[in-house]
Amino acid sequence: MNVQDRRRILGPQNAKPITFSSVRSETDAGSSTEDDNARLVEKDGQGSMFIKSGLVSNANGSSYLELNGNSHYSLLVTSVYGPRPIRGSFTSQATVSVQFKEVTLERWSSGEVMEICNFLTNVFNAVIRLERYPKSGIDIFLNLIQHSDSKKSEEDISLVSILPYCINGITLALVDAGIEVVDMVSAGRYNRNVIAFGKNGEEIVGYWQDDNEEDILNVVQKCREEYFKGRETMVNYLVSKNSDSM
Amino acid sequence: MSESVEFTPIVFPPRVLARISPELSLQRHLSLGVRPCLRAFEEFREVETSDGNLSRYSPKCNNTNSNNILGSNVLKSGSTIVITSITGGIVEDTLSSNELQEDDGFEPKESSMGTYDKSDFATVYPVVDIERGRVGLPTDEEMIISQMLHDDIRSSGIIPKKALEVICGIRTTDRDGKPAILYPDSDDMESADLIKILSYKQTRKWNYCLYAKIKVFSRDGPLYELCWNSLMYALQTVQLPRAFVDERATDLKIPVRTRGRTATIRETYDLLCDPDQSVQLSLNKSNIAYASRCGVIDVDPDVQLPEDDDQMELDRQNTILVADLQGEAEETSITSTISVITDADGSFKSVTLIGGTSNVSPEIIKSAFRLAKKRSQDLASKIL
Repeated sequence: MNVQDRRRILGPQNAKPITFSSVRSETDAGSSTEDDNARLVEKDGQGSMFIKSGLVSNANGSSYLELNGNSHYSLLVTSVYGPRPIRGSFTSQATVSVQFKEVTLERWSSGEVMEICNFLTNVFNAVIRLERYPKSGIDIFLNLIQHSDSKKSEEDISLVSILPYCINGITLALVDAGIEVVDMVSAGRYNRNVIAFGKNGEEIVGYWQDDNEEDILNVVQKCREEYFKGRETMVNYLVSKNSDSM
Repeated sequence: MSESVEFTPIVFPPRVLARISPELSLQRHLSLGVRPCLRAFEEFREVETSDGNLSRYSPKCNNTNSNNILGSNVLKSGSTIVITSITGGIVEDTLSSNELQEDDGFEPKESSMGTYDKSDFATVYPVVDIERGRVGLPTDEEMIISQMLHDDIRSSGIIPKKALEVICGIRTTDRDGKPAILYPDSDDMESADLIKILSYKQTRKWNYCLYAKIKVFSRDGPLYELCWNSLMYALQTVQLPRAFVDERATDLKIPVRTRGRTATIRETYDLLCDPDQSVQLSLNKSNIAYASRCGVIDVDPDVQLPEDDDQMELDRQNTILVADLQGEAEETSITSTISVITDADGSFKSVTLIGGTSNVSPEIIKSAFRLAKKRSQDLASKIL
């Protein structure tokens, strides 16, 4: 394949990306075993979420999340475009698309990203009241500005860890856009499993499983706790925002 | 046939009028002495800037082991947000090995300031991405802005090529098996090591190259100036990591066969970067300049609102200079623009004049330059 991208300025062909030597990696050794402890501390209320919506002015709705755990730090901008007319033949309900993009560092392959996008599309197909928007498309764009984890090395940071944030971000952006949803959806993560809930934790709208060693009921229980926390934060934000604007 | 036809004027709310007839809406605003964005004619948008903690060298960065962003900036102007991150690469310089041998010692060559030979200066490779709710290939606007940034950075002479040269160190392992990295320009160098580096250095030469990734949210008017300013701020935060080769790699030779007949010995080096040590990218400080854009529009006397009696004597301006275009109406209706990259003292790096439909007089151009200088002074004061 010798297809050159002529639309972007790519720089010299023989350039190699900067690679840092792993001199420092010795100090990071053993962090993976601490991981579970770190999670427990986070659960005790160390993690915080900063929310702002309506940041992207030319989208129909948008949300900005700043997530600050004790070891990780993430910034996520979600924008929703739609419902807007689609070309082509009549459709009785809206079509949802989710795009995920890393704004600064690029670390995940497009295959992984596509998998996440498909998962999120499925979740929100179940959440958005599609039948209310015939002949329209709802396009959701996730922009991860930063995701860092001081405890983990680059290879260990998986997309799964930001999946709950994506779900929270999309929910808030949909609310900002005024698109009808069945319920405020949020998600929780336990190790490499992510479960998205609706209807007060009684309905599972999405289940992402990367390891099947855990007892499923235990996973559901753990994720539900995070779901309640996430939903509470979002609802509090929306209520306070509405009371401010009145 | 006594039926009379009645004409009733249709009244649109301002927002609808701005949508269906941006030109008329703009003219009506101008006749009231404000712009659709409610700024005064020569008022710029406030700019807020920070490095966004994205770079591995920013003080609050908590992922220095995985982050390869060398410099960054987040710029907010009105509702528009520009996020610039600069990453690096290393490119081997194959042509200048002869030149290098003449250049003995490590004193930096006298930089050829004043003579603006384009080949003395390096540039960055920008990719601009404007969030617009669509997927697909870059749009014309994105490509044009990227290309202009690329060309203007080089021609304004901000990054001397010398600043991007890799001063390569060597990682040695002493008897205890403890690795140490030696750099040719450090003070506490043993002469033996220095010689080793000297002899090695003459064979190869590397340069850093810088890539800029610029993401724009909430596009609201022309973007080139915002991207330029953000890139300018980002460049000033860039730290270049020290690079080194491993001692064992310095005398590694691999035969390469090209076209059957000529066999050359090619040395391969695995150039690594020091995770701890870095140097500030030494920019040509005197050439740092900031961009601003003004538009020129003729006031259409036909759409002026009826004036009050006491205003009759006032001689109305009929050509208006509008600073920092914002919004759809201004962008589409104001076709004459003056885009200037300058520093506060008026050493211009780039001036783009587009004639358009308005009468751009020398006085207008002069006041646009005056505004650009003031703006540049203001923007320069925002550096952290």
